[in-house]
Amino acid sequence: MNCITVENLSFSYPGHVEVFNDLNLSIVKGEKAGIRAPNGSGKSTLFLLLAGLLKPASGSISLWGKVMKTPDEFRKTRLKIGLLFQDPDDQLFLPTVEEDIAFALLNRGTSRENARQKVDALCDTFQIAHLKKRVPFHLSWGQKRLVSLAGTLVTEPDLLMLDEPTAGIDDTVIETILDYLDSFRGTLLISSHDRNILDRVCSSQYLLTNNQLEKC
Amino acid sequence: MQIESFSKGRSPLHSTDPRMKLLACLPLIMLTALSQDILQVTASLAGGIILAAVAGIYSRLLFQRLATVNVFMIFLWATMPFTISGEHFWNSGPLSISREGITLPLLVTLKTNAIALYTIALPGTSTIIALSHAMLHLRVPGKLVTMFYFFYRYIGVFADEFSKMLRMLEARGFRASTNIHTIKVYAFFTGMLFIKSHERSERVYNALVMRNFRGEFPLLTHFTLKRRELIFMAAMSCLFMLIVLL
Repeated sequence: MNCITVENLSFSYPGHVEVFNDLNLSIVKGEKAGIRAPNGSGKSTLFLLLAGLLKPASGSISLWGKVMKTPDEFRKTRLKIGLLFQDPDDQLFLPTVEEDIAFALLNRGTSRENARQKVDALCDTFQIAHLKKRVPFHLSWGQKRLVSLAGTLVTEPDLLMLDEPTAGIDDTVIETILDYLDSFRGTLLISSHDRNILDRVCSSQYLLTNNQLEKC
Repeated sequence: MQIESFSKGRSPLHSTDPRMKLLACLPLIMLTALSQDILQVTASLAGGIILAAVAGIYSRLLFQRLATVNVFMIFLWATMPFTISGEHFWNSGPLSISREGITLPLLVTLKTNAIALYTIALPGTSTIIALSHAMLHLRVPGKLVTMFYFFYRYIGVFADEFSKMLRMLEARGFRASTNIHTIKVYAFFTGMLFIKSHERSERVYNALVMRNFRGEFPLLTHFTLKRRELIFMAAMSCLFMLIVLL
């Protein structure tokens, strides 16, 4: 069963050149797919379209076999999606690391006790337990990246989309992230410039160029 | 962040439920603002001084904040004594000062300092997120609270963006002077700052939507009413009644 099916997707930003023209993509459930692309070719835009945060000009997006037509359908499906943004500063906004990681869980009505347990477990996994009481926006870039990743993973998404998760961070943090991704059991879509990282984590890779995705 | 300079501390006021602090603060501020009696306002200022002492926030920073507020009072003192007519108090040559010209700026000065002290000692000893959360519990409209919190969260980002762009201009050899080029650069600079801020706001909104944000601020660490809060509210009620009865 396909987790993601994109058919003839076209999208342009207002007043800009088109980003996608008749783009097609199929990602099977459980697949770990990597997307490589030059700067500005639309990797982040693709993730936003898949999450229903941008509206395509034409074409269709199906998630878990269901064609997404309305914002409400996307809203419900987003409960199963985790999206890591390229810039952690866009994502982190609560006053302490633990509050920020727990945010999505509490928004879904999870009890504080359960949320705290999950936050503690993720903090241990990513070795950031010592940062729990720190202010997120005063952390280093790598630490911010780990905290934003923990905040994305805390809801245990079935589909995880990571936008340049290893950009600008040191080898130790990269290794921590990759170790987690190796053990991740859901569907993974990861964009990166680093081919070595994609080779290690992904079972398939796509090249996004000239408004099209090609399997490579 | 500078906005939260007084929020860290171990005083009884720091650990008091922010909902109670907001509930105590507002009537005291209203009473002080509306009072026309020097004695009442002086008592209110004394209350503010005591609360600041209990909060343990007497520091250079507190006096800097009060000094900033009192800068505006200088203008009142420089004009009002000479422009408000009333009972004769003092004169020298063409200058004449009335009694009302003294009491009015004095009243405003006392009120201003009392209100500043209440604000710093009560809500100022809580973090912004705790206050946001407290406001939602007190049924303040969600949109207002969201705007309040986001203003706090992203004013720093806005300032960082501003400094970064300014450094970038300097690194590229820009020196401000009185010419068309400088005006043009500043116009582009301002425009870019707005565009960048707008783009960031869109990204932040998308990140919130992805984390199921519904205009609320659920917190892991919740505050609960304890005996201490009841004592605090009783003490604040006594202060309020004392000022009213004076």
